[in-house]
Amino acid sequence: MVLTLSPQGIAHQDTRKLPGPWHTKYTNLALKIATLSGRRIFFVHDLHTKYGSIVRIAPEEVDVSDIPAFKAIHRAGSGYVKTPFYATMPVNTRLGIFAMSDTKAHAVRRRLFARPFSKSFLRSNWESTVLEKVKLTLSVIKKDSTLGEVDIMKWFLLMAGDVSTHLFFGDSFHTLESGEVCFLATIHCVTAALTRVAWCIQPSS
Amino acid sequence: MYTAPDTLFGYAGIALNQNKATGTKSNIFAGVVAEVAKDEGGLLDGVDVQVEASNFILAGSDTTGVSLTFMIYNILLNPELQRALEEEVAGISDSPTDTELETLPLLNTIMIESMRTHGAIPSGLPRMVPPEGANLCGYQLPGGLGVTTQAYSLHRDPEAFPDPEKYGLLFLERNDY
Repeated sequence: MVLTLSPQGIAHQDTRKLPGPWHTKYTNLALKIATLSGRRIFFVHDLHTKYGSIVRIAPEEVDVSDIPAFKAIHRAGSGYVKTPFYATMPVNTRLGIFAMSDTKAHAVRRRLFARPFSKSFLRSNWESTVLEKVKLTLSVIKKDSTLGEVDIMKWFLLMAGDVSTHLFFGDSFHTLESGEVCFLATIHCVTAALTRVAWCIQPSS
Repeated sequence: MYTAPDTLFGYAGIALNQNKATGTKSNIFAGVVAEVAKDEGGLLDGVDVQVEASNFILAGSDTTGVSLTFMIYNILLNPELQRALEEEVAGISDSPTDTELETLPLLNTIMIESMRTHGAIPSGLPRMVPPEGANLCGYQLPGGLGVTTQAYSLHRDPEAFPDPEKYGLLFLERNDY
């Protein structure tokens, strides 16, 4: 966890006039506490309610909630590259399409995936696989419902996990058949915990 | 807990082996790998496939499961909405296609509205201000500053959604979604 007490690379005077609580000029402590307690979005949202569409949330980080600004930041070729945050994501043996900040390398990868991820390709190649797993999910939910309560979140997670492991590994782990939550618990653990950790170890702020 | 990413990455090796074994429609990367092999290569190797398979599974599992769960939750909170939706889906075939489901207005607006109120990735996806700096919302920002746009707040934009916490039948009156 990197706790910054003062801006590392950006001159203090560049961010001190931005709207935001006084302490965020000097430290990211409040943001880190909110992040570690799982309340980051509420912390940031409350600041927007108080300070408006742009708010300083840490000495070197602002949050923007404004539709034209969102478009300016996220359109392709905007010049706003991804921060090193993404490289701290769970699977970081090598940078994948989510983590790449090199726009050229990212464009090459995106072109490679354009066809297999297109709607028409997915429909003609994988629709029957998905339908089969959805039907299986409905049948196990129906079976559980005759016995009492149904844990739909469990079955939806298993369904989504079986679909994605089938599409990306070539065969699913058949968790819908086994009701086995172990592998999915692994994924859940990785996404929930490490995403939170990633927010804290990101090099900037 | 810390071995979990390695475990997943290990499983991802299966993706690679499946590709080598069959070389056809075994998984979503098969065609890509075949195409890259025909080309000069170097664009995507085995480790890349492992990384991407792991990432896509992480990206596609929890998000889908959680979104569907909240969608059901939102429907169950509103019996009137539930009845209307049941009426709409009663007419579809036993093995509905994506094309068919795409035409159901209520189902699709419910999905969108649930992703607005209970989106699976409500937090921001951080970017950096370009080196030359930028002007956003009337403020000059220095290059390298971290800038995040969190969906949780954008989805509660008071101009777009006058009563943002309300799971809205409001959206049914709009047709610009």
